[in-house]
Amino acid sequence: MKRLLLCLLILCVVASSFSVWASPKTLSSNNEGDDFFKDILKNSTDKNSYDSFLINEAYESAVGEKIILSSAAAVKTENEMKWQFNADGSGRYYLKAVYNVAGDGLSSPEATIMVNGVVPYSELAGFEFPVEYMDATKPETDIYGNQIAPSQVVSGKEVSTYIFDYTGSYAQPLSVNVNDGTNELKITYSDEEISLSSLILVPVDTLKDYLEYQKIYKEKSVYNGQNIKVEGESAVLKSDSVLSASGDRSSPLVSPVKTGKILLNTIGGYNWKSANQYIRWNVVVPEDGLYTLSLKARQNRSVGQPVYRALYINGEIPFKEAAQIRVDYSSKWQMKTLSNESGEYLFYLNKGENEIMLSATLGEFDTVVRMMDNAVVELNSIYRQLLVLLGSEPDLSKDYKLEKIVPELIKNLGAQADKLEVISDTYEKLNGGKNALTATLQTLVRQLRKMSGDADKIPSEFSYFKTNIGSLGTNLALAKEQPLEVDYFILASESPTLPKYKAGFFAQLIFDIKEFACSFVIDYKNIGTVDKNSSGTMITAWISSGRDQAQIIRGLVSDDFTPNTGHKVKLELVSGASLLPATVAGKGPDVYIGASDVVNFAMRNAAYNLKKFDDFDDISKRFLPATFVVLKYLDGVYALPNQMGFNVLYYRTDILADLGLEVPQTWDDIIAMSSVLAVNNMSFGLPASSEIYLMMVKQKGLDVYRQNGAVCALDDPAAIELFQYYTNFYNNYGFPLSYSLVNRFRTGEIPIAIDNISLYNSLEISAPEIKGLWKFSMVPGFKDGDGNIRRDSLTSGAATMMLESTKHPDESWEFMKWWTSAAIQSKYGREIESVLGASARYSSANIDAFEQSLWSKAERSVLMDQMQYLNDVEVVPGSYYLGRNLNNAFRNVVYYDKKTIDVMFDYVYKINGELTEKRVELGLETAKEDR
Amino acid sequence: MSLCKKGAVKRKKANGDIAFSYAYLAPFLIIFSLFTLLPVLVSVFFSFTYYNVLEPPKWVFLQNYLKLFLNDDIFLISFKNTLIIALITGPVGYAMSLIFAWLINELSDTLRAIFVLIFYAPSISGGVYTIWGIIFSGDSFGYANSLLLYLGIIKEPIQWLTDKQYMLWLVIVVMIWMSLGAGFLSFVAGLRTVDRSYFEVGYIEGIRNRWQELWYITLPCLRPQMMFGAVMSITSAFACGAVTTALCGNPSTDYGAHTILNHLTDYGTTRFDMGYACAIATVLFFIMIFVNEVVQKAITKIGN
Repeated sequence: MKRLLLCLLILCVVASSFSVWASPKTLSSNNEGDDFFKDILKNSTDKNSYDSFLINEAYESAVGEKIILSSAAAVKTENEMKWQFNADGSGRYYLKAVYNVAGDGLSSPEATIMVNGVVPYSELAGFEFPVEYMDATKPETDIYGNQIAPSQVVSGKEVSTYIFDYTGSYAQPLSVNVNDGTNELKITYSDEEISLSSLILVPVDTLKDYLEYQKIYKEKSVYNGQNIKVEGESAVLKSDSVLSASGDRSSPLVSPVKTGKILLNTIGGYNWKSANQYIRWNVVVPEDGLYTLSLKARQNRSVGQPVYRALYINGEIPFKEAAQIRVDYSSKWQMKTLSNESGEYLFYLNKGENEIMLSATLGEFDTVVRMMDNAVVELNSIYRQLLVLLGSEPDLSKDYKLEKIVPELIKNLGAQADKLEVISDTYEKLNGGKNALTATLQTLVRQLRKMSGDADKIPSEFSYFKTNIGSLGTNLALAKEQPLEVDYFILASESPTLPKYKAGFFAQLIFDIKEFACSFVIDYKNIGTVDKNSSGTMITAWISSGRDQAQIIRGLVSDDFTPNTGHKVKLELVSGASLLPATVAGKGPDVYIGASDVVNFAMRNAAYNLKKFDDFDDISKRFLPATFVVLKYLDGVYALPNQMGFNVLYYRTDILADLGLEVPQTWDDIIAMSSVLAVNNMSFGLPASSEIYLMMVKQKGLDVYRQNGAVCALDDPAAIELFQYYTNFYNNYGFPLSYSLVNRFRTGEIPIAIDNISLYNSLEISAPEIKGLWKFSMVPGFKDGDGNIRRDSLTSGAATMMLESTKHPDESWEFMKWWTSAAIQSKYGREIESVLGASARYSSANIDAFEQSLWSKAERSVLMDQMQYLNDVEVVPGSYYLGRNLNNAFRNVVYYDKKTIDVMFDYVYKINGELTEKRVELGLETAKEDR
Repeated sequence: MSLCKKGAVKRKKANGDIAFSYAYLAPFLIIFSLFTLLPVLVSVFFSFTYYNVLEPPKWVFLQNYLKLFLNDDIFLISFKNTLIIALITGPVGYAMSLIFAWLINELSDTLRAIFVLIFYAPSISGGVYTIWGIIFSGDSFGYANSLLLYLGIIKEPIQWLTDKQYMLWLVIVVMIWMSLGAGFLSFVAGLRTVDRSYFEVGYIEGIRNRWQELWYITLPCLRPQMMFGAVMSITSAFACGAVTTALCGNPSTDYGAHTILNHLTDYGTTRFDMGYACAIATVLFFIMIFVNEVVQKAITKIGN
C-alpha cells in the first residue's frame, strides 16, 4: 500500500513538472525573446517608431571611431545646423550632444534631427534636450536650526549627454544610421536658448562587459586607503529642478542626522522616478586606481518590483553591467556594493576630481514595458470596436451574433491573449516574482481567452474588460516608475568595512522617542523663518492650502520679499473655515491667500477696498478683467486674483479621427456630431450645471442681472430660449447627466467633453495609457450676425484678500503686489510642480506667469486664445440664490418634463425675491419696475 | 409587577457637606455651563437680533421668529422633512437597537463582540455614509443604476440623489442604516447587568414565555439605558443634516431633502444671517425638548 502511494506521489511530481515544460513559451534566452518581440513589433501599427526603425532599417553595428560634428564645422542658418561628413563603412551610431542652455529653464529646448534628408523616426522629431539645474545657494538654516532646501537654478554650464527618447521607454540612447561615404546630418531647434557646441556620433557596440573592462585595467593597482564618502545631497548637477535635497528622519543612521531638526541628508526619492532623470556628483580621489562602489539607497516606493540606475563615470558607462544596476524593493535603507557573483566590481578612477552620475532607466524591462504600452493601445482599440457594437451597457438577453459580424475581432482576442501571456511570463521572470502588474495581465489573459472561446460571453464580460484595461494602464504606469533615494555612496578598497546602515532595535527606539518628544516643542508654524532680527513691520498672512504650498511661499518670502522690502511676513497655515471666526474675534490676519467668497466679506465691511491704493490700476493690468468680476462689490475691488481656472474642450484625437469628426466650433456643431457619437455608443460630456448655461448666456451677450444686480435678467425671452436649447442636450440628444469624465474619457465612451483646465492634471496622472491621444481646444460658442464665434468661458479661482481690520495696509499691499507679481507667481508655480508633480500644476491668474508655466507650446497657444474670451458672472447680494435655483429649474425641466417658460418665470421670481430681501438688509436701492 | 424597583436609599447629609458636594460638582458644572449652557443662552440671545457675523448684532426682537413662522416656506418644507425623517428613523432605529441588542445578548461572548462591531461600525466611522453616494450615483455606472440597468428594470440611469422622488427616502434608509449608535451599545451593556435571579423569581411567579420575560423583567431593568437610547435617537433624528448635505447637497433639489439643520447652515454660513440661524436653532431646541418629554413619559409606562 505504501509503495502504491509512493508511486502515486512520484507520478504527481512528474506530471506537475511536465506541466511546467508544457507551459507556453517563456523567453528563455535573450535572442529568442528578441525574435518574438520583433515578430510582434513588425505587425505593430506605428511604422514610424524607433522600434520599427531598429527592426527594419538599423544597422547591427558600427565600424570605426566616434564622429565629432562640431559647431565650427557646421553650415549654420537661423535655428539650424547642417554637417556633411564622411564615414568609412556604414554603421549605427548613438547620438550625444554637447550644449549650453541659457535662460531660466522654463521650457526644455526642443530639436529635430534629420539624417540624409529624412527624420529617421518620430522620436527624433521634437525631442528635448535636458536642462541641468543646481542649488542656487548653500542650504540656509532657519532660526530653529532646520535646513531649508535651496531653490534650483539653471546651471548655465556646458552639458554633455546622450540623447534619449523623452518617455524613457528605451534603455539605450537613440541611434541613427550612417552610410558608407558622404552623409548629411541636420539639426533644427525651436529655441534660441540653446547653443550647441557639438554633436557626437558614438558607435553602438563600444560598450564592453565587465570581463573585458577588467582586462584593460589589469595593470592598475587597487585603492587601499580610507573610505571616501560622498553625500547624496551634495549632488552638483541634476537634470530636473525636482531633484533637490530632502530631509529624512526615519533612522538614526541617515547621514547626517540631528534629533528634532530637519537636515537635508538625502536626494531623490519619489521625485527621481522618471526614466532619464539623472544626478551628477563630483568626487575627489587621492590616486589613480581601482575602487569599489557602495551605494546606500532606499527603494520603498515601487512595491514588488525593482528599480534601475545606469552608472556613468566621467560621462560614460564603464561596462555593460553598470548600465542596469538593480535595487529591489525594501521599506528600509539598503547598502549595495556593486558586484556580480564572482566579486565586487572595480571601477577605474583618475587621481583628482571625477564625475559620477546615476541616471534612472527602465533597465532590462524596457522592451517588455514597450510591449505592454503597445498592448494597451491595441486592447483599447478592441474595446472601442466592441463598444460600437454592444454599447456601454450591453443587453444580456440579446444575441449580438458577434462571431458572425466580426470573426476577425474574435480571433484577435485570442491572439492578444497569447501575446499578453508571453509578456506576462517574461516580465515575471525578469522581476523574479509576481506582482500587481502580472496579476492584471493574467486576469486579462483569462478574460480574453474566455471571450474569444465563446463570443456569447463577450457582452457579460464587457464592463470587466474595460476595468481590466484601465487597471493594466495604471499598473503599467506604476511599473515605469523608478524611484530611488540616495543617502550616500562610498568609494573604497576591495571588501571594504562599510559603516553600519541598519539601526538596532534599541537605537531606533530611542531615536524615535526623542523625535516624538521633540515634536512637542517644535513650532511647526514658523519652520522656515530665516530672519532673526526684529526690526521691520511684521504682517500676518494666512493660507488655507497645503503645507507644501505654505513652505514654498515662506521660502520665497525669506529669499525675496523680506530682503527687498524689510517687511517680515508671518505666514500661517490655517483651515479655510477659521477665517470668519478669527475675523469676528479680531484675531484675523492682514492678508488671506486663497479666498473664494470675497464679496461676502466686502458686503459686510470686512475686506479692504484695494482701489484706495494709487497704483491699483497699474497692478490690475497684470490680470484679465474677467478675473476681477467676482472680486468687485459696488465700486470697490476687494482682492487680487492669484489662481484661475476656466473651461476648455477636451477631445480624443484618435477617436475623432476614427469617426471622421472635426473638433466642433459651435454648439450647433455639437448637435450635428452627437448623432455620430450616439450611433457609435459614445456621448458628449457636457456638465449638467448652471455654470454651462451661464457660459452660454454670456456667449450670447445676454445679461444675468439688471439694475446693478437688483433684478435677475434670465426671464428675458432670449435667455429662456437659451435655457431650452441647453436642456435639449439632455432631453433630446441624450447627453449623460452624470459621469466620471476621467474614466469615460480614457475608455473612449466620452471622447469629447467640456471641463475645467484642472482636468488636464488628472488626465496626465491617472490616464497614462492615452497620453498623446488627446488635446484640448477652446470651448464651442455661438455665431453672431457677422459670422464670428463668441467662445466665452467662465473663470473660477482663488484670490488674495486684505482684511479691513489690518493695521498695516501699506505693507500688506506691498506683500500682495509682490505675491501676485509675474516673477514670484511663476517661481511659485514651478516650485509647487517640482514638489508635488505635474498633478499639482498651478495656473496663475497673473497673465505673464500663466504664459510662462510649464505648458507645451501648442497647449499654451490654445490657452492664450481661450483667455481672450474669459468672462464671469458678477457676484451681487443674494446671488447665491442664482446657482441653486438654476439647478432646480434644470432638474424640473429635464427630470419632470416641465415647460421651460413656466419653470424659468417661477424661479426667476424666487431669485428676485431673495435679491430684494438681501438689498433691504444691506440698505441698498431695491428693484424698480422696468418692464 | 416590576421586580426591578429597588427602594431608593436616601442618605442623610450633614449641612456642612453641601459645600463639599458643590466642590465635587464643580468640574462638571464649569465645563457644562461654559460649553453647553452658555452657547445655548448666547444662541437664544442672538435669535432676537440681526447679526451678520462680521458686524455687531442689532436688536430686532421677534422679527426673526415672525419671519420664520409666517413668511418662510422653506422652513415649513424643512420642518416637514425633518418630521418625516425623525418619525421614521427615530422609532425604527430605536426599536432596531433594542431588538438587535436583545438578539445578540443570546450569543456567546466572542460572537457577540463580533456582531456588536458589525452593527456599530457604520456609526463610529464618521462620514462613512458617503459610500451611499457612490452606490446611488446618478452615473449609469453607479452601483444601483448599473445593477438595475443590467437587470433590465430601468432604461436610463436614475438621478437618485437629485431627483425629488427618491432623495428623502434614500436619506431615511441611510439614517436607519446608521442608527445603531450609542443607544445600541448601552442596550448591549445594560442587558448584561440584568440580574439572573430576577428571571428565576419571574419563572416562579408565573412568567410563561420570552415575551413576558422581556416586557416584565428585561425592559424595566433597562429603563435607564432606554432613556439614554431614546434621547440619543431623538437628537440624532432631529439633528439630521450632515447626511442630507453629503448625499443630496445643501440645498437639495427644490429643498426636497432639506432639514431644519440644513436650513440653519444655509442661513448661518451661505447667507451670513446668524440671527435668523439662531432663531431656527432655538426652535429646534424646543422641539427636541418637547419630544423628549413625551418619550420619557412613554418609557415610564413600560412594564406597567
